[in-house]
Amino acid sequence: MELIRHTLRNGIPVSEPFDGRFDLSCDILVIGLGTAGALAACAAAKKGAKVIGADESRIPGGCGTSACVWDYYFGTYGGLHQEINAEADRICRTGRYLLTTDGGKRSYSGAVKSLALERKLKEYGAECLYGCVVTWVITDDGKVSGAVLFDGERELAVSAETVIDGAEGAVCRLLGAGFSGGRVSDGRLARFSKTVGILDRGYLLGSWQFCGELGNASAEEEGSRFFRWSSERPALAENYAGRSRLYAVGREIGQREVPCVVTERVYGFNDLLRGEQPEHTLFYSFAPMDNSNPDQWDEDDDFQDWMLICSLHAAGVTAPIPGEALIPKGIRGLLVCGKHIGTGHSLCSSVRMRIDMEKCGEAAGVMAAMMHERGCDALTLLNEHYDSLREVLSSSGCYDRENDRGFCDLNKKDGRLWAHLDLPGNAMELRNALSSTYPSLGLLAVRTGNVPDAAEQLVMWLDAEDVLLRESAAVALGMCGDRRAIPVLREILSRPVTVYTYDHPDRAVHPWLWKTSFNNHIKAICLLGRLGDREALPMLHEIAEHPEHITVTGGDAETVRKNAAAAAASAIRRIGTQMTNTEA
Amino acid sequence: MNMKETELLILGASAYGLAAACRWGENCLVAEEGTSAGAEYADAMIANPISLAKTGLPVTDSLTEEFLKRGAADRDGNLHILAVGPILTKRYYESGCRILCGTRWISTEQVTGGYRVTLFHPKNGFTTVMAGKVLDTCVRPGMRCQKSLGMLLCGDDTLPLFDDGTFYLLRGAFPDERILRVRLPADADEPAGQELLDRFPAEHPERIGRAKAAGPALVFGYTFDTPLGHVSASFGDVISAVREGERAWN
Repeated sequence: MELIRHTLRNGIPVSEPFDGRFDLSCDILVIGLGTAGALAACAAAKKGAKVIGADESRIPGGCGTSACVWDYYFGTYGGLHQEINAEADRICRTGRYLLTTDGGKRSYSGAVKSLALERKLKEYGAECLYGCVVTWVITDDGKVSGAVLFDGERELAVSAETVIDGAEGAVCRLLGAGFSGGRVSDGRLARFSKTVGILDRGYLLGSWQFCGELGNASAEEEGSRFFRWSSERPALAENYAGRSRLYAVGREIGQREVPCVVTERVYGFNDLLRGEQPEHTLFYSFAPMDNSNPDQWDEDDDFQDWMLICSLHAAGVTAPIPGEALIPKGIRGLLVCGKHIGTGHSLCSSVRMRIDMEKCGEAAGVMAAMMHERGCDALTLLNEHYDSLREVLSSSGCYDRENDRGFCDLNKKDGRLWAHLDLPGNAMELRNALSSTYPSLGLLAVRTGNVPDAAEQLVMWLDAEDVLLRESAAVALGMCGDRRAIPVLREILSRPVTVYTYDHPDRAVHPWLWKTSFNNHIKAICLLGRLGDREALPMLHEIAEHPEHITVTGGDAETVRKNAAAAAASAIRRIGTQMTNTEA
Repeated sequence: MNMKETELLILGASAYGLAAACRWGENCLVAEEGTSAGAEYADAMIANPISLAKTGLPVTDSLTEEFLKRGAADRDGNLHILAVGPILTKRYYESGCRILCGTRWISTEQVTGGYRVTLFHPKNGFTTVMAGKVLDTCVRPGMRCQKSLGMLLCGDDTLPLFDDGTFYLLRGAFPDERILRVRLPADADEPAGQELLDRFPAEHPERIGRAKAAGPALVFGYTFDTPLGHVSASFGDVISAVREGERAWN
């Protein structure tokens, strides 16, 4: 037995012997009782494990309570969270609490949700320590076997068979685990928001704006950005009368993305687009690709393909999340749950809806409890006992094959679920799609390999008289890395910009999804950069330096020019980097 | 990352520490547990009325004026307590001081020329700061004070204020704004306090009338019989804390 404790000192990993004196012991220690961690503690305790949960906040629920992030529009049905919501519904029915706006979104105020969580945690038998931060992680012969918590006055050493990191990677960080950063181009993450609660027609409404991001921020830069955005609208009003009056202010910041832990398997957006179905799926998440960073030309290629090239902001993706994405790579005795699981930057934006994060926590809690029951590690549990694990998760609805809806149309309902996207499956359907003012589904069909022998058809259409078909064919080919697209892509840049707008015929709930606008000009810019087309550099420089020369038809001309200039600058950098790498 | 150095280290982005942060500017480092300023009053919903009288102290008087101008205080000094946090946060941000959020104080050791302070930050772990001066404005274990938890109520402008020894009601700046508070034993956790606050309307409907709860305070509030040194929460109300901090540190 070799007990070691691990921490960071001034950012540098440090390890030293631990004397083995524990103050508390349990089967499962859950650090972070946020949206996912609270459900991990509930699920593990409900399964009979002895659970201790710890959080630096004074109440459970994370962003959903302490950051006023109440409303979530997406996610898949099913899971233990329904029992917590039933308690929350009961509290709402007392009439003692302001309710949130609820168009069937099942959202609850921080007061209601935290009370419901606290009651359920107690009912299931989890012991919770609030106001505690994790300062050390303890390993025994290399396996995580506990942690040291600091409550402001004293340190508490807690021993555990399994530790669940529901604290955005805090435990992993102390162990020196690997993290994947933000996007490849500059490390940026999705923007965070400071949310406050206001009243809208008698209901609590979360009010927010997009703030900064934290990808490469130092500790002081992060502090400065939090303070800056905590003192802007809507938290700071010119006058607090009327609609600006505050009914809640988040103590936490609503971070849409945190760095993902490098896990035994990272299931990323590219895997999803390739149609990979992992062997050990624990639950399905569902949401649009909800990364609202405005500079999409600097996003990773897979996200760019979806949002900028295919223009699919009105489509949702189902992601099958494997158990391996909850296991930090090479670390025994530790699981993760929350936004920091192994999905990578692009997919993270879709796998963060509240009820999906609650399922994530539940899955981690059940995994940990079953590891304890069977005396095995996480990988063995998945490889040898997956069927049993899936059965347990199915009993609450956390795992439900019916939730695997693939790509969906967010403007159309199919009963209570979203309707499948109808992708072209043959050359004729593809041609029709690409010739239209909504080529999105055709482009996605090419990206996902849904049309056999698409490349040769697309090459033929490069000579089509129909401008839309010719341009979309070039975009599709370019997206697949096919340099035969280059001449037509350059041709697109030489012509005035036309902005196309498509009105979706079905209009489900959300107005911001009812129209899709795109222009092939910016797509061509990005793709020529990606293809490393040096001959396009003079054109790209002209766009970057003189966007005022761009003629625009339709849409907001100023925004089109500004975006084109920024995208061109990004493409120039990208070509430059490729040239440097080639020469090296 | 090298250890940090600073002329002044303020523990807690508090009301009391504001004037010092404004004076020291970039030569001041502030270590705050949360993500905004004034939590001991704003996040805790300690909404005792403020005095609107001029003090001659520039930070205090300009802050009082700003509270009035933004409607965060009414003419009787009653506060829209949730607005206090963003206003104080803006003052801290504009002071130019350096800020660490999500940071816990671990220990302080006096050394030649100043102090070696150990903090804990989620990104960097244990962080050593060498400070010429340290201003600790936080409530620490062992201090004699009354712990309480608050809940924001709204919707009934007829509710009279009361204090039955355990529960008491404060007024906000808006006619229907109230804060219900419960006094708690030192070892009570927030869930225990929330349960007491949740039961109170059912057990005393006449005290609550038509009011509904918006949300619990996210941190405990602490009240002191008399001010205690630099402890921001011990001055009773946010402007008193700012004023005393300005007198002492300017």
